[in-house]
Amino acid sequence: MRVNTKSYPHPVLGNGDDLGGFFKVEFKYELGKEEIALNPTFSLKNTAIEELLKKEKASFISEVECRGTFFRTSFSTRKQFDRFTLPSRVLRERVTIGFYICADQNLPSYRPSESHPDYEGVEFDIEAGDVLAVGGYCSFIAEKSFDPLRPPVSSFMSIMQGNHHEGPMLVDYETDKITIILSKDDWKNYLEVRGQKLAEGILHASIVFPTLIDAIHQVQNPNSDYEGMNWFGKVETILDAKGLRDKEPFEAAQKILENPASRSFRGIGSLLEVTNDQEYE
Amino acid sequence: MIKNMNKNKFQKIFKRATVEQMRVDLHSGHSLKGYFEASYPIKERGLLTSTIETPGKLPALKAPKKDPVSADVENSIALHGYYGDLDETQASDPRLWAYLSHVEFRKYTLARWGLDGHYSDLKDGASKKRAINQLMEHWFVSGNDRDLRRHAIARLWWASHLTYAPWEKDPEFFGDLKNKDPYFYTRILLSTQDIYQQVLERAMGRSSHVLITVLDYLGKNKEFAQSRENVRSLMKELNLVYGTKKIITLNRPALENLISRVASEITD
Repeated sequence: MRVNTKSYPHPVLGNGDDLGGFFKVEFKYELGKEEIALNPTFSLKNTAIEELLKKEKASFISEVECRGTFFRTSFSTRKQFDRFTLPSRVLRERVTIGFYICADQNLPSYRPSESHPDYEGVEFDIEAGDVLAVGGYCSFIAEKSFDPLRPPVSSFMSIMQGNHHEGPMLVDYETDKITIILSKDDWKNYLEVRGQKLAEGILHASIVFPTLIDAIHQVQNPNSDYEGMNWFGKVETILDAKGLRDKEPFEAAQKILENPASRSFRGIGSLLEVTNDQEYE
Repeated sequence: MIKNMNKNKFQKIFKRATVEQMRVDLHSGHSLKGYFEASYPIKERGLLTSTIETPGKLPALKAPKKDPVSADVENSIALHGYYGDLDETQASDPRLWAYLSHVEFRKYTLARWGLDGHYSDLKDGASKKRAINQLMEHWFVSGNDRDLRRHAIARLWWASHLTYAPWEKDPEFFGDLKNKDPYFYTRILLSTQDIYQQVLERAMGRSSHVLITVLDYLGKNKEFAQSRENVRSLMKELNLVYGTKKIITLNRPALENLISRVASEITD
């Protein structure tokens, strides 16, 4: 779960060291053909906020957003475990879900508990909707066939023929998938080896690996221009699922591609063996 | 004699690889000249037949030269009526929208979002780059709502879809807004280019609760809505509020009050 620290007009649990205690969320989801189920589990420790939930003056909020389909909605509950469903048709590709505790009504003279000494004894006028606790956010890909633990490269990257006859490969990030553009000459050679098991490691090491390093840099940049792109959501989900979000792009890309250098050497070795065998036959 | 009464057909779309190649070709400037031409060379092997069922004849979209924005509402309603059964997943498919702008509604797209002048006017690299960026923005979709908002055809369909009879989609929240005209809020959204851009440009516009309640305010406060600066400030302020207050969780009267309060602070 990721949390962005912000400046609020009142202390918020989970926002830096504003308040003592914790608000943690464990989130699971199920992708069905007709429905997508969201199953959050909330754990809270903060006397004043626990009291507000008990008195039905605050709720756990799950805010769901999908940029691909102009969709944003929220679910409200006071239960520690809950299950919300959405029709599968309203979500596509990357779905972000954020967790909060919000006031259900105006709370004049709200006095937070376990507060930072800066806020000791201070009262706040809280309005309905105001955030009292943040539990972070995460994202998933609303696509049953996509497994972030075993992602095929083709789910976020494609290789196309360019219009230049020779010269370096180019990359287009402003599209559905990262598009690597090869010169006509390189494309012709690529077609000859595409799909051959021995060549896969070599292609991954020479073409996919450097591009993926660059793409991971983009995903780790909090102000990336490509945040809305489908490939961005997929790479982000893969990094999260494999626990690589905070790793250096160079290391993360190697883990996603399962050591492309070693696979490339194995491929070259096998190709040389084939050539030698042919020579002595 | 039994006549086949079913005139429905299935919508053609481009294959994914076709769209990717089209983007590469435009990006390199290779196909730029073709965007000045009335017809588009289609290769059958680059097409797919989708599961989207369409009823008979395509609507004719209008693009009056003097005031193209004036036809947006009419076009949006016609398109939404024709593609009424599209669901959100289908309606965010880059293959569909690229096909519609390049093939089915090419004439309209050229008139409304085409390049001015002739290909020979694009003399240097900078002017070609500007032209390519403009075409990428209005003729292609990459799968996010920014692109859907800007695409020549997608923007029209989504404008109606997001605002069509909200009292039917969410009677509990919007029951008090019931109107004879199901496109009542579409007309407000598309009444000016500024309202469309400002309201949908902000992330909170993805919430139907926020979107419709803002449009309702603008519809009831026409003088306020006429000022580009007012609409821009309202959305900017609401966005700031959203940072600390989940206004999406508010009930309709509370949301309505909040919007009125923010708007009055702008005009005071």
